[in-house]
Amino acid sequence: MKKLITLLAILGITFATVGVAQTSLLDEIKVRGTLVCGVSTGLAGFTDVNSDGSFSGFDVDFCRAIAAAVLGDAKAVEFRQLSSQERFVAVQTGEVDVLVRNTTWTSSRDTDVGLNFSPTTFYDGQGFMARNDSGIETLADLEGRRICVQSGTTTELNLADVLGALNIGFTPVVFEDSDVIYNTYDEGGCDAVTTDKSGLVSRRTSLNDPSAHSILAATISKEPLAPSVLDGDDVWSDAVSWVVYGLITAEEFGVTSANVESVAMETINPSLKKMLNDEGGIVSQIGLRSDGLFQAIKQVGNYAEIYNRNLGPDTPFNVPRGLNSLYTNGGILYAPPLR
Amino acid sequence: MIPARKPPMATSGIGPWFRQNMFNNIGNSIISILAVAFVLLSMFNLFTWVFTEGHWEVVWKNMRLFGVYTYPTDLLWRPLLAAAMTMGLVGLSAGLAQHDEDGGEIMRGVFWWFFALVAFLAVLGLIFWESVRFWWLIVAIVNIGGYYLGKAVPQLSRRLIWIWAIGIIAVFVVIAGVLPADSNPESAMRFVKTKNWGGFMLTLIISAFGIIVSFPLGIALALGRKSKLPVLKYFSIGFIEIVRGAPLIAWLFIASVFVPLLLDQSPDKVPGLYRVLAAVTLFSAAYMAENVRGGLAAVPNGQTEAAQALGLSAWQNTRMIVLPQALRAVIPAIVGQSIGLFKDTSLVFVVGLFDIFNVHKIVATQPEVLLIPGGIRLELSLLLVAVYWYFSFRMSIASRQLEKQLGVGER
Repeated sequence: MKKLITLLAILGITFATVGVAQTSLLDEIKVRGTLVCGVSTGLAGFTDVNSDGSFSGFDVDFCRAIAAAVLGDAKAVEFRQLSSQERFVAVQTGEVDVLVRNTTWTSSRDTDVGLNFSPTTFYDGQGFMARNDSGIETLADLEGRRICVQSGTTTELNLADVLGALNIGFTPVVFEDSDVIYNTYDEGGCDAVTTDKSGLVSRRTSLNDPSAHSILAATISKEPLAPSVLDGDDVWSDAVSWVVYGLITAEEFGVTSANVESVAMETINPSLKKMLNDEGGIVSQIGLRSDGLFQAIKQVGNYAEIYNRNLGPDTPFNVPRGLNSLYTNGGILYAPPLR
Repeated sequence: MIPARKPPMATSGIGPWFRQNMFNNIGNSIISILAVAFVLLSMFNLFTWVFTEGHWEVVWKNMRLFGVYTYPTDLLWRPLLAAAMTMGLVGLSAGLAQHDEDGGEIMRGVFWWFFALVAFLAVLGLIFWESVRFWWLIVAIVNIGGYYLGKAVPQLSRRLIWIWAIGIIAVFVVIAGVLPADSNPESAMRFVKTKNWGGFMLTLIISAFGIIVSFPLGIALALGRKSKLPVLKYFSIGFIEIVRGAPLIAWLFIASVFVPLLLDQSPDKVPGLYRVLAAVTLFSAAYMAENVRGGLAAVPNGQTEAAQALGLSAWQNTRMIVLPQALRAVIPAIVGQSIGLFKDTSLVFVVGLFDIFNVHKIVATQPEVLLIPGGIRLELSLLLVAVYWYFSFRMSIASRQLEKQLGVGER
């Protein structure tokens, strides 16, 4: 009987804790003064740890932009490196406020895992890399070839599904460790290697002769990488979403970290006035600081600046913008209006 | 008169040894020559590569990451102060051991091994590492100072265990800082989250904690398993068999993913490092228990009977008769397991912690590293081999010395 009472008491406490009135994480972050951002344990170009211990990368810059927009300081971020296994638990338990960790937006993660995704920051897709002299140019050329792939990933499943459906027979060469995969590929242990295209591009730079390899045009999966927050906190989710939209809008209007101050002073464009000067309280009503988007652009830069700094032509990766161009340039980046 | 004969062929010395062992017939001579040629060629190629082609500048640039990972830059003196304290304790223990009846040969060896490394780093620090210029020198001085202090003041040995206890707590406080977290973001003793601990410092913390704590736990479990009290006995058996039934990585998963979900909503209350320490220690304790049980089984019953005949209590019998003999028999197994644990710390990547092994993966994908054709995996691997070897090899030596001293296998 005593045990039963104890058990009931524990259950009661648990439910009581769960039932506490919901306040948004956004307010909590403002009080705390730092944003805890979940990033990768290391993905070249997206999350890098530099030799001085500082973080840089595409995902890292989005964390900084969110911090700048919410707290006014791009440095007020605490980065939490998460392995792929623990990333969702970290969001569910509140260990991180937002997950910006090259995570593909899928239906099951949106519903079953209990995440709420913000707009895609990077449209990726699974592709193939092969030697120029191998004669592999299209998917059909992969018939009978050996393809290196990482075990236990969605990449492996996609490969089997897509090539199976096309009736293309191939020999998978499966490894656990990605370093081993590219070593094997470089030494001729397989004819082609497959993973997300951004990954292929970054890995190509470290092959013995990068110019001897090319990435096939074909893309066999959709991998929209998007920031996510915990389900059920729409205020916070909206705030994160509109930071991303704000940076895309900034690129659209040509507002950069260099000119944002003069644009904010001189602009007569009503959209920019709303975005940069909080005219009509448009930015404040998102829950950001009234100068939040201004600060994010000033301290971190617009979408194009973030992209170019981490993945652009001046980096080892030189990933073509492709789908990640503005809708006006043939891509699919399209931010709803701020008004 | 008997004519003078040639002296018989020498049978000892270097020349005859080679003749007898490597060139005693044509087949063996060919094999010997080929083997030596192969070894020389590989060594030559390796050294040529190491000294002319290796991109060591990248490795060198990242030494801080290998040491402490993302521990705050302005607080680097804290891990170094902790290192100085630890090295001081090692030196002191080695110095005090010189007064033991056995002459303290083992501790002396361990001490000089550590001192060689620390002195090497002190020289590097003085020449190259501006940010920590004098700290490594201080570590080296405290290290050797502790040794001579121990040698000079043998009375300290009675308090050694307390000195260690206080020292370990102090080391922890220095690395972790003082609560509360957000009192002052610039303060010298501010709290540093365990997620920011990393590199070789983390490797040492996890393995030292795991090895030291799992030892008594393992003995307790082994004794529990042999106990006549059913609760104790079946708990021990259950614990040992369940823990040994799954690989360490599975327990780390459970510790990192399930525990925060089960306990409460905020895993910050039990940071990843502590969950890892618990998992590693309990896992190691289960294996330690089985090692010790092997030793217990090797002690003949007559020993216990004789102890009882002398009127020793059960506790005295265990402590003074059975355990010393049991442990002596399983030293190689225990050391082997410690070496294994030292290297298994690399599994902490599942909780997003970065020991030296996982730091090497980070360094391998830095943008500037990716520009180097072929990457720098070989350089990084060699560094890891050197670091792991330096410590594992010393543990092996200490184990052999200990066996010799205790006369394992001679009685």
